[in-house]
Amino acid sequence: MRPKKMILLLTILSLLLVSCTKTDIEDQTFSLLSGIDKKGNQLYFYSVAPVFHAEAKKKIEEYEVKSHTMRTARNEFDSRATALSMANKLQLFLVGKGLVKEHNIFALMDVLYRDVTSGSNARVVMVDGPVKDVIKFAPENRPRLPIYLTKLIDAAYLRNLTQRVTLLEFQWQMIEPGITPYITEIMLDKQGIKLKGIALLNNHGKYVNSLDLNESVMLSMLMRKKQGTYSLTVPIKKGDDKVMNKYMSATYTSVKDKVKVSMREGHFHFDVELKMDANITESIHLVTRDRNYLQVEKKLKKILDKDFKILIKKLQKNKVDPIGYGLYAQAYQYKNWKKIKDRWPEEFAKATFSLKTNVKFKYPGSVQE
Amino acid sequence: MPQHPFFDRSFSRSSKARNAEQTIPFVQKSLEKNLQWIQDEFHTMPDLQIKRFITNQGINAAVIYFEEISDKMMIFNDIINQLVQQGSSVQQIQSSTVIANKGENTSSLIDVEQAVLKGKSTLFIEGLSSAYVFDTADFPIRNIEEPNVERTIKGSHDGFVESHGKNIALLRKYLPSRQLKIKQMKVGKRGEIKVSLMYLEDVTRPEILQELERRISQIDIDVIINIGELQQLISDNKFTVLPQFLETERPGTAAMEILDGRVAIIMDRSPSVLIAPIHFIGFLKTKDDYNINWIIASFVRFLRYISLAVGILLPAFYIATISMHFEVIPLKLLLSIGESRERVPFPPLLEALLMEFALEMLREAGLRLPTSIGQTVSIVGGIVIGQAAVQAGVVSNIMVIVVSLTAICSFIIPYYDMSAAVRIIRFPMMLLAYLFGYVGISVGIMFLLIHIISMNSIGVPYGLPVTPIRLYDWKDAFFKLPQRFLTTRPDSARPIQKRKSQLSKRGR
Amino acid sequence: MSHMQSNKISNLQFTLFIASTQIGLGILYIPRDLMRVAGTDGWVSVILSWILATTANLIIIQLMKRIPGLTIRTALQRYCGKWIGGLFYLFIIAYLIFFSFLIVSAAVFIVQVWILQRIPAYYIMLLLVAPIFYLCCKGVKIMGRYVEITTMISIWMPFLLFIPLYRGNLLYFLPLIKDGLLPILKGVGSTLFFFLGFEMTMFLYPYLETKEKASFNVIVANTISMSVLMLVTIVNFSYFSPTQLMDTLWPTLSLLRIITFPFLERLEVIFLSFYLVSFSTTWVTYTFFSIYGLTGLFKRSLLPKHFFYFLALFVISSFFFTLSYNDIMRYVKYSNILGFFVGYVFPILFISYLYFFQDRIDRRRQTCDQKK
Repeated sequence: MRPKKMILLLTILSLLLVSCTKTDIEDQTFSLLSGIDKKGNQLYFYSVAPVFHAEAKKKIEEYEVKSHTMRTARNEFDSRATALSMANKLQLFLVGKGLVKEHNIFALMDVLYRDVTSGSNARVVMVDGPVKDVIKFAPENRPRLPIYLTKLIDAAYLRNLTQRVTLLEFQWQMIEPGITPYITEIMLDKQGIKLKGIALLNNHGKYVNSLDLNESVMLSMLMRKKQGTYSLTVPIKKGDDKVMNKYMSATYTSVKDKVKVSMREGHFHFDVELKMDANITESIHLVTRDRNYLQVEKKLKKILDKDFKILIKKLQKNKVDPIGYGLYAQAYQYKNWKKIKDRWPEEFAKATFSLKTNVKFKYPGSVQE
Repeated sequence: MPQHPFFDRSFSRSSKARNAEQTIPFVQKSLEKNLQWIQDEFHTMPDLQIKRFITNQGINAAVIYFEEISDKMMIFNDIINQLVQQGSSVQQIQSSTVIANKGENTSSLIDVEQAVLKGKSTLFIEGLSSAYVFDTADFPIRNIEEPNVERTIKGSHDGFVESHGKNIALLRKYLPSRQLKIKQMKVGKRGEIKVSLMYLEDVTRPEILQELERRISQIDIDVIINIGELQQLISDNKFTVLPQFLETERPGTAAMEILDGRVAIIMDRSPSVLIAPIHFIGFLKTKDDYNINWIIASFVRFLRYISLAVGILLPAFYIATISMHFEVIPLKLLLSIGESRERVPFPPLLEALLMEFALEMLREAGLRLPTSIGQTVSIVGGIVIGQAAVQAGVVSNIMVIVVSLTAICSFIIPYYDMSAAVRIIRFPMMLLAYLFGYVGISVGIMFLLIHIISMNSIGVPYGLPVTPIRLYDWKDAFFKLPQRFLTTRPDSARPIQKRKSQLSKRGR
Repeated sequence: MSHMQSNKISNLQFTLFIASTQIGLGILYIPRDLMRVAGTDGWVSVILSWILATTANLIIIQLMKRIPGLTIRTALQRYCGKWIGGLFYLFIIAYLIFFSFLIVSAAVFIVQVWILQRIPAYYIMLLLVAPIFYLCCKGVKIMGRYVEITTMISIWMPFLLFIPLYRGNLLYFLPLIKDGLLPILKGVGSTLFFFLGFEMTMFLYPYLETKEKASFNVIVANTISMSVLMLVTIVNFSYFSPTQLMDTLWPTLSLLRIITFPFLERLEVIFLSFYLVSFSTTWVTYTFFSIYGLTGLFKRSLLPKHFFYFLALFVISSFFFTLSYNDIMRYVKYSNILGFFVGYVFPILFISYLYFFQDRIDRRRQTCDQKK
């Protein structure tokens, strides 16, 4: 048996040495940022990748190609870059507003989901304007664009100024009938890239409306997953002073919501109770001299109730449900949900809401007037 | 039939036939004839001394001894002096009333020759057909000092020396118990050497002892110089890097192991003692652990296990990540690694092997150099060359970090055999990692595990107390519970007396 | 048999043997199957199939208790005649062989798809087959120890799954039993095969050292597998929306992808590589006992070279053809049906046969022997 074993071992070893189709890091381009936009009837694909060569002056390379699908675009990228491009480390996925308004972007994103090696943690972002401008934006005293943008979005997400939607979550939003998708929205203005808020899409993946920063904070308070801090500024009383009005800012913590679903007259009715603790962070000209916090609490509650009502009305008018009340309907009113589950956004528009906020003052900061 | 050792070749069968024809030399009545035989056999050995003298009763006598290995004072005072001046008869001397050492009577010149080679002195007397052998051996030995490779922070700093008797004495100092028994055996055909097995009779399992005796008695070799050779000759598995005996130079450690039911194998001329049976976890424990606070001891033990894992897996993990799975690294780290690797022309495996071999060479070189040069060279080699290599772009700095961290981790393992094994195991892991990524590492781990759990050390599974699982013994394996919980001996030596501080029925 | 005498396994090893053989490929694809068939109430199917599987396993223990000192092969040949018994045994062995080949190929497939895309399949097969060979040559006792230690080092893996649970959506489970019992019963159809692995009890029982606690061990083993499957199911069901889950091929792996630590991302690569260690217990058991059965049937003693030829066959076959995803799913269905017969149907048949005929056959043998 011994000579046989030797021969076997030798064949195995020689096979092993012959193998080797290996590529190291520096031989790979991994795009950190991917984007799609359209001009006229042509789709444009973008890719931003880091450069590792010590001799290169710019640390980043950007490409723009015309193509039909993402996969053929990747071939195009390969034809330009010095290495094979991979989507393993994708951080951001940008889409232009012009594209999202008229087309279902989810269909274009198929390769990101089907390819086993692509990362699911990329953030989906809509650009209010041409994607090309954002890609080309590379100021001197900022880190590389993908990193800069990622940090911007993540930091804002901690403050709930916007929502961070990863590819996997986006897929979930698109496929789940009880919720309509939403993504982060940015724009490029003279000072640089600015976070606009949240872009709302309907259940076909097309853009309908946007929420600004304040509305985004309120929307995140209604969402099921709560994290970070919520900071809202509300005008307490409109005064005569045009420049400085009576405003109060507070940070809301321990936000809890209770949702009850019932049926009334053939459509859904939601009773939402929002409990929160408020810590005052800023008050301008505010009347607390009499230390009557209960009064202020009541006023705050009324204003918040109104603001939330306006928000929900806006959502209903646009027939979008980013909060996912459909999930509650499915859980608590399953039989009725089953009948209408394919047309949930319309049913959501018909639903009635009674939203109550329950604000408790925690503490007023280190100054008490 | 005693065979003349001069003609014995342990692998030659014809010598046996030859030996059958030899005449067996016996002690003759004539002193001159005996001395003539001795001089013929021991030619070209100027250090053999033959001292003739005349006893008080006027009989010719002679004492034979090797100069530097016998205690001359004892020979002169106790033997020659007694016979010449004090007038004691030989019987008196032999019955040890006037001499401290044992004396024996023999009529075979072969025994005389063997004895003299071992430092004993022989007394021939005219007219007597037997010779008297006195144990005056006094080989030169070291003082007792702390062994270099097994330092402790606290605890006794003594170590075994190269003398069989002194080592036994040191062990008796630690375990003054009636149950501490010694089984002596002789190994080696050309140069016999004493091998002793020390054990506690009421604790050690007799089967283990018997098996060890059997293996040692079956050794067929001319001389054993190092105890490592003995270790290789009696181990279960020949084809493994993992050590199967614990080699220690500290009497304290040996004593603790004997208390657990293991057997200590002491060989003359060797400052290390072998402990059997031993298991994998035993190599990661030290005597120091029992000397310090149990929480700190647990932490240190835990650290050792982590460094064992790191020492084997870290370079492999790094190579696998860099060459095949870089999506696992977070982005910021990835960018810095990419930048530092860009300047290196070699693939990661080659880079790693380069660094590892450089480190191994430095290590080996450091052993040979005298301490004054050794320190300078290691600083130069380690720091300057490493730095220069990074700057020249031959290796990346992260690789230097990985390799040095691995080296440090392998030094944490207390016993040299095991840390050497870890050094070797690293390399196949790196190769597997390079070829197959994480899957290769998994397969490597599988192989290693199967190897460890299938080994036996004198019939006791090597993987105890992890597999087969003995949860009760874990209190002293991965962490260390306070002393008052450690009331039973671990199963890894299969002791027949489980509870400690339990005296046998006959008392101490 | 001296092979059995020298290879005793302890009760804990027996338990873990069964549990690790059961926890294999199923974790990765069953949640999706279950959602397709049973909807979000599939977790009830898990419990039901657990009860069924445990019962079947206990029946096997009772069967083995009726034939003390004999193995399945010797019992079949003794009580059913040499040829008919041999035929039944061959059927069982054929199932084992088919299943071991399927499992190894599936492992190679997953590894190739998820981790090592550019390495040809026969390499991966060679790589995975090598430790199986090494372990099989060592015997059942070492396999028992191996099962213990792999369980110990894989203990951290279920805990990883708690992280996506935290971000999950427990609302999906409400209302409970929304569509009635029928989907749940259909779901049992797909989870029942996860517990396949307990038929190994037939082969492992003779090696067990203390047979008194065998029933208890079997219950514990099945409970362990059930809890792992339950955890995986619940986490998958709560994180993915039902439609999304049905569209995701390997939902557990997609789940793990989202977990990020400060120093590691894309955890599923590490998890899958490490899971191979735990997965290896499944295929080593099947491979060992298929060859054991084959050599027993042809009255040869078990030698390393038998393992070698068998496994070399695997490697050579993977050189020539590779399985596609659809092939694998189809073969899984076939092996599930075969396994159903071997694990659930056969013990019941055999034990009822023994109940009626064992005494008669024993008496007849005794008189025959006396006549001799």
